[in-house]
Amino acid sequence: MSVGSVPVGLRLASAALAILLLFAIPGPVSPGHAVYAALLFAGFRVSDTTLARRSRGGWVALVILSGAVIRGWIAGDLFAGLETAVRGLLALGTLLLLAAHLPPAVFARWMRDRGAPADLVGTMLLLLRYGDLLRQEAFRLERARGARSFSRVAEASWTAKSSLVGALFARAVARAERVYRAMLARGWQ
Amino acid sequence: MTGGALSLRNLRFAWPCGRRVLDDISFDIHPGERVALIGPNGAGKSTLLLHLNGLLPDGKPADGAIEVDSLLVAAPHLGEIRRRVGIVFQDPDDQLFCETVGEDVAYGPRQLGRNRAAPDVEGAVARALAAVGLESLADRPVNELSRGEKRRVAIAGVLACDPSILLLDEPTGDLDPRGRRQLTGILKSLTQTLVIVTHELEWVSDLCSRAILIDDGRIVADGPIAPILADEPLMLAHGLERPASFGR
Repeated sequence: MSVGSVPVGLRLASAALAILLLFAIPGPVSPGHAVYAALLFAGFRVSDTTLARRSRGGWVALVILSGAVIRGWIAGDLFAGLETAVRGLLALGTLLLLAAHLPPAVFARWMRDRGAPADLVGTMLLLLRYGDLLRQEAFRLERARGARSFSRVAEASWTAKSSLVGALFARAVARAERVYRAMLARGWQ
Repeated sequence: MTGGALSLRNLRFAWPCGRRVLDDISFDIHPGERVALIGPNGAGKSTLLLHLNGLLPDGKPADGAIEVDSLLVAAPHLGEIRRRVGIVFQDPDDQLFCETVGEDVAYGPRQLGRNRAAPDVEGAVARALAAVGLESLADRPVNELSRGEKRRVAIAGVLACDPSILLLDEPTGDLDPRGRRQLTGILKSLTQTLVIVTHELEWVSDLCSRAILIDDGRIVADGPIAPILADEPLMLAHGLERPASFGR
């Protein structure tokens, strides 16, 4: 059975319950948290979505961090300050795994079917789509700059980075204007 | 839907900086006619297209008169004008702003107030995708499409609104030969009035019977496409070249 066949509502409810339990159960971080981290880690390992693959590196760090906290807990509360961080990271991991297996279009359809305002769903999808376009634009700018940069120091300088951000902003504004026109052309008011 | 009629009288337009882009443009396009709008870069072709859909001049009345099927392109008719006049932009990434192909094609019909009859939207989407041969891609995320597929989805998105006039801004700009062939097939199958802005003169001569040559915001030639493209001095004087297959 693939994750895709699990109803969207069940996927959302499971993630929400897991996050609730992570924060609601009182007391210090326990071996139970480490088990949950290991389960999440396994989930990321077997998942073949792009988001899950990209998140794997971070999960190694989280498991190490969890190990350190558990060791501190056993030794006598030396890492108490890190407990919140662990809970937060586990919640973040849960959300990442959920996002990796819940394509925005599926989520949007689910929201629309349950009566979410069309404008809200449309705006959410627009932001996701243009976030991706902006990322591609940044990649192209970075690559074009790299092709004509002959010194790594110059390439990594703040001046170069700020000019990249400036160019990206200018392109984003120009594209926003063209997208606005495309929306008007198809009846948006 | 069958073709619509377009009429322009003495259209002028200047950007806020004062640069005049269109100067005394007048022409009529008959229902079902296919017209190529040609000219050098910066001649005002794309700006003219934006006027035909009421996207320019930014909500103000145009300096001159533009009519679509005898309906003035101005408020309060802009909603109806945009339903009748579909525009396919130069860069499909500007036009495809939803997550999946199906969502994007459904955007126009939903905006045009058909969302209370869901089967209608679904039917419009299915028909539009079938017209461009992409029925199987309805659930595909837009960012996974090739450039040619994006172009076809952009056309489907406009066809779903059932326009009577279709404006295309450099539709072959980034297509490979196969993509261009597919696009040619799609455009030939349409019954709508077509206005195509392009630099691909050889390609467009196969599609359109009439050409309007614009340079520096003015119409310098308007008539059957073959004699215009074959006129080498005219073409060279306005930054174009006679296509290889013409005038030999």
